[in-house]
Amino acid sequence: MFRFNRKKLIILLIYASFFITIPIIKNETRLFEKKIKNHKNQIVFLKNNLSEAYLEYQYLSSPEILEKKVIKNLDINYKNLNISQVYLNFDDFVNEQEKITKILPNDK
Amino acid sequence: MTNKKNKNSIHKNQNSFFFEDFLETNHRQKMTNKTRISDERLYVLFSVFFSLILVFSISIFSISIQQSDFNDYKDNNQNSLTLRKDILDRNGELIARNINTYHAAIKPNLIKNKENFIIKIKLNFPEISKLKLKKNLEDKKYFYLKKRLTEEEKNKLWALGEKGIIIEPFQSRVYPQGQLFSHVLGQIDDDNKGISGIEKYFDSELRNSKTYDPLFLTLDTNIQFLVKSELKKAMSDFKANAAGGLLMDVTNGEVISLVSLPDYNVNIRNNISDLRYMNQITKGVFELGSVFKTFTLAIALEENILSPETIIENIPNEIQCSKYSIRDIHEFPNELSAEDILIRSSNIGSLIIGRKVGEEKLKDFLDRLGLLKTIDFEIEEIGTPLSFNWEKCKLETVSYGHGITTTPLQAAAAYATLTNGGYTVKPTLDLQKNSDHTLQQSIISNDTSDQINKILRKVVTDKEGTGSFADIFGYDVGGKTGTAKSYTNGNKNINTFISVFPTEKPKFVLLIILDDPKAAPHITYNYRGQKIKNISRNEAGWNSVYTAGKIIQKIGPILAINNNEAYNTHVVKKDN
Repeated sequence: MFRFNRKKLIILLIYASFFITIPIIKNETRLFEKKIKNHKNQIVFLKNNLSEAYLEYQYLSSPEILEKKVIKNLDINYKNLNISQVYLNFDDFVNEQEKITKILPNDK
Repeated sequence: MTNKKNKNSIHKNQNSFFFEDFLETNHRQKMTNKTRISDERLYVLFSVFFSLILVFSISIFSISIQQSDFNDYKDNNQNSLTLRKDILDRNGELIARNINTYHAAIKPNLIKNKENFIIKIKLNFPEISKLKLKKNLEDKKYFYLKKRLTEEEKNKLWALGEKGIIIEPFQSRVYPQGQLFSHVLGQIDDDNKGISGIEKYFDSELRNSKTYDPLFLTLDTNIQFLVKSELKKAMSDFKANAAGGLLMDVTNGEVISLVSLPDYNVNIRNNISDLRYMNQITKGVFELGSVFKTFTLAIALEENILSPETIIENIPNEIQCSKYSIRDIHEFPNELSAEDILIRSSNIGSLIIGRKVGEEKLKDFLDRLGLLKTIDFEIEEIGTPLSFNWEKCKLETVSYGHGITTTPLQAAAAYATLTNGGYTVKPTLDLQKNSDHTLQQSIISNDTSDQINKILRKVVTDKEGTGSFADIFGYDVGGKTGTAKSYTNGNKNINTFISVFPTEKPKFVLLIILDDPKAAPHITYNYRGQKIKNISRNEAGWNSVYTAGKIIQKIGPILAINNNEAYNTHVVKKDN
């Protein structure tokens, strides 16, 4: 007759627990993988969209197109930035201006 | 004997005795064996299940620790499977990319009702010829109805539900910047192989599927656009046949802008046979005229034949050389300093300096500057300077830039060499290519280079200089003009201006070339503070220099902002 000692009971319990947990884990893994596959498909789809949007953005933000849009939609006349006329501090600016123009003293 | 003894000894120590129950012993042994077998099975099962659980646990664990790599370049590029890599400018702006598209092909034997099919196609695609389609359906086994379908066109064809329509996937190359880089990029064929320009030169690199890295060019989209728009305006103002512009870093040869006009849209395939559409900067071989005077003076200074202040006396108005009579366009004083000869652009003065230098030295110097041989550059369309013999009068004419041809690209590279301290510069379009000054050959000394820079600055600032329209405040521009007759058509002018800036420590060389520009009386020039109009002159100073000035005015701030030195010196920073 099969004797039910402690050792066998533990083995049986482990066996039973594995028997239950393995299908659960396997099933979970399968579900995860399914989700991952779906997400991957979504990613491919989104990547395509992103790539197309990026391409479109690059086209629409190309200088030629931007210039056309600015001329069409804005009334602002942009002027070139003259970087050499921008100074680090006010003293530099005054010194430079003094070289160019004579500053008249204030009569008042 | 020994056994007997042992037996006796056992008996001696034995306290009690018992009868062996053989049956029970056997039974116990059998049970033990059974349990052992069952244990072994359990261990095996345990191992199997444990391994399984371990495998799934590892699987779940690996899934959970997977890093998202959305920020990787390759993932932002749908085209991990594209046949060609992207091309980007130096700032990462997209210049070329492959996209998935479709061709619509027809298998006539799968179409049952051909008349009905033709009507359906005609309704959806009115541009397709009915007769041609009918003929193809009768004669061919397989043909293309429409190439490079849009998504809408593809859906329309799907909706027809015809078996005979085959939608073939295809990769198409698109250039979002349109015409902007047409002369640099070149084209690819239907098999995605480069057939011209950058596409051909870097073909194997662009088709290398092992890496995802795009190809970075040295070009700057914004600067390219500004140079192009000003050149386009110049072409229209001066009614020029063609125009070209080149901006290059004098320290490492990186080409920041390369424009050749007229250009074409690389997204639309056309057969172009008009010679004006050649790349003026790299393929065009021109007699560039007075820009060569700088080379003559540079070698004279380097060889200590003269200094910038050396006075050349008794300069005649005309010199007879063999059967040719050489003279200046304007009348100059008969005594000029060496630098004045360059500033005023005197042919006779340069000729005299050339004679002082001698044929061998001048020839060797031009050769070392790389002006006489074909340049190695990353596009296929490269011109070869015309070969010539150094016979009678060649030294004289070459000293002022006549009877010698080269490409504008080579001339700009030579100017970069003269102005960067004397190091040879190899123009490049490949941003990854690092050029190290220490590995470059020095052609002239730093002192000679400084002297040349100062004289070039005077060409722009001096009252008698020919480049005053390029004197843009703040950019310290220097340069040299060149007005020459085209060697293919003596009635045509080729006007060039090669500028360097800032001349204190040159960073950029800008070359502008206009093919046969005319006078522009409608333009109001700001000539040394005075507004003047109705000018009927068409030398380089009145068109190429004017255009270069306009370009520097526009691109200067961008270049300065990108230049740390200029940024740190000039840009206001708020304290708070």
